[in-house]
Amino acid sequence: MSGGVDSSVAAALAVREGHEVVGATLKQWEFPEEEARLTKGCCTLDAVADARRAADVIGIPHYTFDFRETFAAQVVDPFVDDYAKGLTPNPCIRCNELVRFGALADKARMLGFDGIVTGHYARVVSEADGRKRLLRARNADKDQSYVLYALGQSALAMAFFPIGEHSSKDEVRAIARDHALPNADREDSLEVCFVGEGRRPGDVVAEKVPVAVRRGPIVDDAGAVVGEHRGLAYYTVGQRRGLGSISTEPHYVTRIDADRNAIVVGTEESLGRCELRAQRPRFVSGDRPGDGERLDAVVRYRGEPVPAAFFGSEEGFRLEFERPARAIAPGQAAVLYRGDEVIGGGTITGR
Amino acid sequence: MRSYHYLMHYLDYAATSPILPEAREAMLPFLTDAWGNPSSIYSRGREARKGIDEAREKLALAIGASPEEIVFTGGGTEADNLAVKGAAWAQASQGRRHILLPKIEHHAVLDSATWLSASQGFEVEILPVDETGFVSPSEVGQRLRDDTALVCLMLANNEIGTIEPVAEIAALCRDRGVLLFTDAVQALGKIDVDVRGLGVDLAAFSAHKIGGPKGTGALYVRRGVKLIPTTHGGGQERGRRSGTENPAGAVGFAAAAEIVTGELETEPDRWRGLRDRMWAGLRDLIGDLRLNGHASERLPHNLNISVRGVVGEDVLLMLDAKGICASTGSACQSGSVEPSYVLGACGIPKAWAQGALRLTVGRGTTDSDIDAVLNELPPIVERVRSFKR
Repeated sequence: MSGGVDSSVAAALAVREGHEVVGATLKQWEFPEEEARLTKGCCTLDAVADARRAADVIGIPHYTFDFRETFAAQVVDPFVDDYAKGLTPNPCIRCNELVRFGALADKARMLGFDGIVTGHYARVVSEADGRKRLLRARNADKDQSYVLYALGQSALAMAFFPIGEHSSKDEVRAIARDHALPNADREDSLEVCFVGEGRRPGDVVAEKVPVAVRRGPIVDDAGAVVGEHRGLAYYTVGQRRGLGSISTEPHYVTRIDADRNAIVVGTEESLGRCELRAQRPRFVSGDRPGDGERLDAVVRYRGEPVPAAFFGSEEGFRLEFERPARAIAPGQAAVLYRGDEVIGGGTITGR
Repeated sequence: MRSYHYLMHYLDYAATSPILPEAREAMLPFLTDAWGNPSSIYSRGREARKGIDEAREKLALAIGASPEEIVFTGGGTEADNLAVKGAAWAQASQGRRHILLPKIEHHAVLDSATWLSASQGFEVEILPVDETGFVSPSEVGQRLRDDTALVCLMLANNEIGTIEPVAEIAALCRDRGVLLFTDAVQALGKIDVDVRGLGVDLAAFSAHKIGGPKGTGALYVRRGVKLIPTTHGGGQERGRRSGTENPAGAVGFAAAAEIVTGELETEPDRWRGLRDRMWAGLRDLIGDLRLNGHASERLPHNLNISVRGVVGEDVLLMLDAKGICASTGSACQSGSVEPSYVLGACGIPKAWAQGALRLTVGRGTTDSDIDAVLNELPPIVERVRSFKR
């Protein structure tokens, strides 16, 4: 329970379905400044207090678990390393796989629980043979199946996403009001939880590894220097803003060259790619699709699906797009769908 | 595995204790009719004043002090803060700015001293402790200086129950004109606490640890000891703790103190019996177990053990599901449990420290509570261990 409305309603719905539920808030991170620790955002004392109050109202015990070490090792450190390498990681993917449905699931099993209820917008359905399928949420605007692709069968067997069954946020808030949850009208959080409000991922990288965030050249396709960047971690492929006035024509980040600490820019057309390669593959069913199979690929969080042909490879897989896919950022995930069903995915590599 | 039944076995008397019926009865008049302000001149105020005065006399008697040496506070933490800061500031005017204390002190003492050193120009020196948490008098003797303002040494540790040689160290301090403050919050009602006999200058107490109400504490300030107040205002408590007094709290505290000190001949022996049976049983049933703290110089109601290969928090949660209330030591503000700093200060390796469990018995503990622990804890430990890779 983050203290937000989704996880609180998820807990209330699980109780309503007759499960024996205990609320758990993971303390994953501590913001450096005293002020941030006491006020807004994830993992703050306020957030913990909101979760505890929601649990009180629902009528379930509430525990706060200290997951700072696990979260740092499994999520924050790789996030920082990736940014330092010029990649654009999505930390929620590792968090779901290795923290929520990793370390927390292990703890839950040990304590005698069968499942983990979260406020994710996604759905799990069971086949007759017991196999689990992961589907997009009914509320397409809020769908979070992208960040859950790395969950395998054993994780999904424990997963319970009651919010994914609801087709609008208003519905979720209405349930919260029905249950008189004190956080029914709390604002949604959109930021990466440990980056913090009004801050950017680059700020976290700069704090942790200052040497990785240093100024360097912005170059064009031909290699000519056209400007100066403030550190690779502040840029991502496809980004247009924040490049300074380098020419009258709109420019986009087309590549991040960590070896030369350079940002490469180009026109919108040069953002298109006809294929990508991915590593660290995860397939929900456990089996990878057949070579040449046509699937829909989503290459960034909340991105549009692009039809692609799948080919397995040694490192993971390769996708060939039917039409050029825009702004493929190494480090992000390529998540494969068949209609509303998540087939799997992998981390996009640099080449 | 999980079943939240509320047939409760409470084994966390060091955290807090149920209010004694006698304390509640004594408090009730001050929560109903006798609601006056003790400082008011008329009858309604005078009855509240009478309550406070009688409570002060009773508490003084319980700890071997004179009534005018008792300052009622809003709890043990406030008493600790007043003692450490108040005495340090008063001593600083005589050029004494050196404070000695072990790292196993309660955070109310430790953090007050740290603050004095970080922002008030004091020098804090840490006294070493041995593996049982024991502070050696000779280590204190070697470190006393002409500019030492204060030695802080708890009478008994809240986590591991070790009883410190306070009387001996107080004598060393007295010879050097150094003040000694003892946090006696955990000791009161468990062992004989005679401030005069101990020879301490300041001693802190808390009501809720002995069956009194929360939000009430007291500081013993030996006559003649100078203290700069930390709270300014109406000058109550002889100017040492301004703010309208809490008659119900004081009266409840004093009633509880009278009861528990009156039972010192009998109850501690009973606790020791329960505690020792629990330890002997657990030692037979669980392998790779150690006792934290001193084997004999410890509070009679305290058992602190480390179970290797588990995280104490996991065990607590599973005990909770069985209706058994215990603790690992110290809980942080947001409710998550971190490895004990006390065990860390004693040099206990993390592999042991993270598996610490504190089980403290009290006035309401019976054999059935011990049986519950002996029945439930071993299989829980086995389960937790089986889940660790």
